[in-house]
Amino acid sequence: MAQYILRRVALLVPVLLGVSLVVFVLVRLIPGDATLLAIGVDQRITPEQRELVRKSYGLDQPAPVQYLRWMGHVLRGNLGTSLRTRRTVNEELRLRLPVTLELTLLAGVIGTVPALAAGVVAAVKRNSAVDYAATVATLVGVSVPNFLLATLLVLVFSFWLRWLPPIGFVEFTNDPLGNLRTMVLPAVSLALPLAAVLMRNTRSAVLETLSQEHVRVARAKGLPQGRVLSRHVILNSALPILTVAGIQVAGLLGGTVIIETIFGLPGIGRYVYEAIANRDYPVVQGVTLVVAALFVGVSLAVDVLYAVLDPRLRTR
Amino acid sequence: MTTRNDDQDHRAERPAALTRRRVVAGAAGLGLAAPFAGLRLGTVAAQEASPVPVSGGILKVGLQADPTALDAQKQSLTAIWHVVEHIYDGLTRVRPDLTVEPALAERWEISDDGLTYIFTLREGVLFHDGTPLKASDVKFTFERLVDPATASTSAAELASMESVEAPDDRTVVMTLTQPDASLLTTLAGASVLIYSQAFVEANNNDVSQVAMGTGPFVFREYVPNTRIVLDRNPNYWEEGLPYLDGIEMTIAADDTSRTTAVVTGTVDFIEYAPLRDIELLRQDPSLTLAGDANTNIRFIGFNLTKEPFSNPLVRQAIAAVVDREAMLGPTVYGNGTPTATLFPETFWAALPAELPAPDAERARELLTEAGYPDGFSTTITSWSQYSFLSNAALVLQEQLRQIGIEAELNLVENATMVEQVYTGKTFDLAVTGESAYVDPNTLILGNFGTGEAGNFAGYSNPEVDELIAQGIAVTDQAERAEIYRQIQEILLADLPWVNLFIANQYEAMKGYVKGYQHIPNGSNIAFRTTYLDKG
Repeated sequence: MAQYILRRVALLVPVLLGVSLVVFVLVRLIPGDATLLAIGVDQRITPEQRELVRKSYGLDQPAPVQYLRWMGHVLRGNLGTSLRTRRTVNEELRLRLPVTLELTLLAGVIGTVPALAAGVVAAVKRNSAVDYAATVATLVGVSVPNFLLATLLVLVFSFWLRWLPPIGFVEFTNDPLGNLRTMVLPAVSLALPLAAVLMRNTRSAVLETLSQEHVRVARAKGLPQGRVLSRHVILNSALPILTVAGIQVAGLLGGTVIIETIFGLPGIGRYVYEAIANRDYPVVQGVTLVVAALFVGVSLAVDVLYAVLDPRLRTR
Repeated sequence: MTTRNDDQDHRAERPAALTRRRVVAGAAGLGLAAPFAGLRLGTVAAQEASPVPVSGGILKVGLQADPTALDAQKQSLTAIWHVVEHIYDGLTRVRPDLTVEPALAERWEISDDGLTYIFTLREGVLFHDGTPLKASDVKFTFERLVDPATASTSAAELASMESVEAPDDRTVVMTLTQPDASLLTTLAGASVLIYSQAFVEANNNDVSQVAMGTGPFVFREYVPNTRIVLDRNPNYWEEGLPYLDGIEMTIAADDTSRTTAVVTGTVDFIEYAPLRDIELLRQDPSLTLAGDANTNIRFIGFNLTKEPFSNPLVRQAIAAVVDREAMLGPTVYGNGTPTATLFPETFWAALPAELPAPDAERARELLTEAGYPDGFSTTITSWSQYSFLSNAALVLQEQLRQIGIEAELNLVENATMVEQVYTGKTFDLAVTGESAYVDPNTLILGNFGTGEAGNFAGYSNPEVDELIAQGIAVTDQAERAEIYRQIQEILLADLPWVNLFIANQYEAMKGYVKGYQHIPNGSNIAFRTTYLDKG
């Protein structure tokens, strides 16, 4: 088991190295000039003055030099310094990563727990009113894009009911209750599509297991329904659900970009969005690297969970 | 022998060294103040200020964008200005009617040749750390801006400055390489707000995360992308101001969230009230709106270096067919003014001109004359991020179809727009905008001067270049206005641009927020006179 995990961790190194190279090249392939964006097109500035700004950003060096310099910093634990804000990416992540992680975690909980329960119930009570209601809810959840849902939630809960503030993030350590009040709507907006997909998958996975022979045998033995479900159905349905859940939860990180903008949350989604718009190369590179590490980290965790759940996988 | 500052007649002994110099009486002496006192532009205050302003309270403000950093010399962002303008002061300041008034400089004298400016600093002004403001701080600030080591994005603001000296603690002498009538407005800008030399040096020349000036509010905290907190400056040099105990700024980038925030009272004030929500905000009895025409212009810019737009007849055809009224709804929800010229009609340099009615017939004739009886295919490039521009492009595409011009829409994000239009110049037609000018020279020189970086159309007319030089060399405003009217007439004939409309800009605030005045260049400096009257 330990060896299995070690091997998987070792594989992360080439993956992350590849990511770093790809993002470094890609971000420079997008047309646009970080220097000009910082100056603004309507500013009168001489070419020499512009060159000074470019040099101060370190963009006057050839690309391979820039890459090696950056990797050198990364290996020493320094992800780079933002061209615009002049703050280090490390410092910025220290402030922002907790926000995004909290949001993702909340959304993960809101998106998985009820969805799993609803999926099991819908499968067991197939073709019942509950099943149909769940199906409709899923359809809505999958079809409504989360930026629309977010705007609707702001309208209902902030504008009309006035229960929750539309903006005004406060740190959890500063004011836990106030923090949660600003986090609920974004987390729900983020969670709904996840919940919908997960519910569908749980339902079909459970349905499939229900139709298998060992379940029929268990029933024939006279085991009560609850025991059949807990011992024979849910555990055996867990693998496909886990796969989908893993991908979806990691995918939440992508959804944070738009949600953080709507609710004014200072997370990494919005950070990287603004960085791309302004061609803030060090930020795009640094954040992508960290997100990639998180993403592969989650997949690794899922794989390890597989091994825990299914003894057959451990021997491989 | 008279030196007059702006507030009162003030007789002062004229320094011996200035005997041959014309001593100019502050802003009034430039002819800036009196003839334009009744200017409507931007004078729509939120409400009547009640006779006795109340002190105290925190103003909660919803900002449209995070400042990202606090050093306006390092980045040219409006969002930075909207924070630092409360913390620092400039030598001069812009009034709601866009004239200039003294700020840290109590008065100034300009030599006859317009090349020497002598500023006298206000007495007893203190930085927030208690140290007195000195002329050397002004010298330091201006020199820092143009120092190559700063790599300032705004270095060109002081392009006309040859040197700046501080002969004593209250005197700043600026020498110019050429006369610059826009200098006094330039000195009200964000990149020349006065820094404390000692403070900047104590911070290793990095004031991107901290701020300390002489302004009405003291910097307390900046949590990136979250909030900016400012406290009242008890030692502010304007007697009795500011009224507020402090300002708490929150970032509310999303339009719906920003509107909701002020409607529900999560904040007291929002900047850039979303134009699509203006009716809703106006009808809300708990709110007041400040704002009106702004110093901006939305227009079609032609690539004059390319066929077919190098042909003036083609440009005239497009100018003839364009229906500006029809653009207002889809772009600014009706909150704007269609215009064929550059400036709002209330601006001192405006050219009064009738709005031509769209005439497709005439446009077709012009196109035929130009050799395109069946029209042609082209591309309209515009900013995907700004719906007020991309929607204007969409309407234009439809209108051009009437005369057989098939235009493909090329809506691109900011950096690509800059690349295609401003640096690469690979575009055909661009629907774009300019904003936040105070002096007409900013807009005209930058966009129409031969070889200027901002002159993306590739326009060049020696007559216009000559007039631009004249417009900046004379300081009399009436004379300047005449020059700018001439330039605009030439532009109307040459048509490097077809101007479309001027958008309004509003701030929305709770009814108890009083004493705020909208300034049409977008400044919120009126927070220093703002107070909360919750009764």
